[in-house]
Amino acid sequence: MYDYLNHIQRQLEQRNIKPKLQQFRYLLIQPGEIYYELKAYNELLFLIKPDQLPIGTRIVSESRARVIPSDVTQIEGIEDYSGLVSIKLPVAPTEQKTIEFIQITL
Amino acid sequence: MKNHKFQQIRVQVKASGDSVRFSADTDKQFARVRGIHISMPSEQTLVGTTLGLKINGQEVFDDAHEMRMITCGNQVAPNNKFFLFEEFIEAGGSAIEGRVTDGGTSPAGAFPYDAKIYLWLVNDEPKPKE
Amino acid sequence: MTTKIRYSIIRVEVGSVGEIVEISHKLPAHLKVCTGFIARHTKGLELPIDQPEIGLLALEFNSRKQLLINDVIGYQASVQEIPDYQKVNIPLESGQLVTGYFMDTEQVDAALFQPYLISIYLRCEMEVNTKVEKCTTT
Repeated sequence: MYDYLNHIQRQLEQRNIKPKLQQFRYLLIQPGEIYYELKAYNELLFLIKPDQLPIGTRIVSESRARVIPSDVTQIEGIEDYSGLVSIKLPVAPTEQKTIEFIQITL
Repeated sequence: MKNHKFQQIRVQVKASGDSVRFSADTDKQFARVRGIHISMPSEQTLVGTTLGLKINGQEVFDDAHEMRMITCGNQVAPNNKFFLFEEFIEAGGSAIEGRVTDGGTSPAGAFPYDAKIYLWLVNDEPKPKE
Repeated sequence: MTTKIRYSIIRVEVGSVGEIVEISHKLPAHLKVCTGFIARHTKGLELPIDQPEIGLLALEFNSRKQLLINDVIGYQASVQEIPDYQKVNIPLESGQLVTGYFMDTEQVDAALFQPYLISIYLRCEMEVNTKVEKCTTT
């Protein structure tokens, strides 16, 4: 499995970002709810397991926007989001689920 | 001494999507090119059409530069029609080279048309940058 | 006299409603600073009236070191004044990437939507080498 923490650390060095704190952050997906917002001002949220989200989920933030593609399980790359992060699921979920992020506070 | 001249360069575009090279010389009685304005036969011919321009060997706009970025509509006052150059662009007989590329959005009946490029030539000193 | 201003143009093609297009554009190494930007619809859409918003734009400079631009792109039905650049002052590291995204925000009526092109103009100034080699013979 790809070493995500090593990748994140290297990327932050390349981008001249000195983190104040690195920790996990969780988003609880509720049955019947399709839209979520996370505040990540002066932060970076790295979505480390995008395959936890259904295909077609739209994630929009200040720095990056993405739609979870159909071949998400074959993709190793992880992406970061910042500012107001909105997540819109294509269909309402039927059960609870936890989505994991690595949060970098700047 | 004459202070202003509006030099016209006409470029004929014959068909949709055509890319036409042109060349000219600036009037040698004027020291600098202060601004540029382009007149097209209709707004539709302006859509997606680009102008590349080199004056005196210096690139002013590359070939992908839309005309719409450097021209305006009919309702703009004549005094505000020209895109003004911030830097000193030398005239004085310098060579002009350019390329007009039609945006490919005009109906067949629009062709052929003339793109008219107006260069505002002056002998004034450029104002210092703010 | 050498001119310093160069325009770097980024083209973004939007093919479908709601599409998100990633931007990754390498600036030429000789550009030293970005002094202005403007982003606009180039061609594709033909709407009867102005539309204040057709999409959102985000741009990061210097290979993701700074997120400096978030903008709303609209549609102008007719040609009006000469577009004015938004003044910025962004020092550029040599030959680095401008990254970001453009997202169509589904504001255009589905019946009128057509694939379109967005152009982002960065007005930059280049490094001008004005040094004169000193004569070494004595």
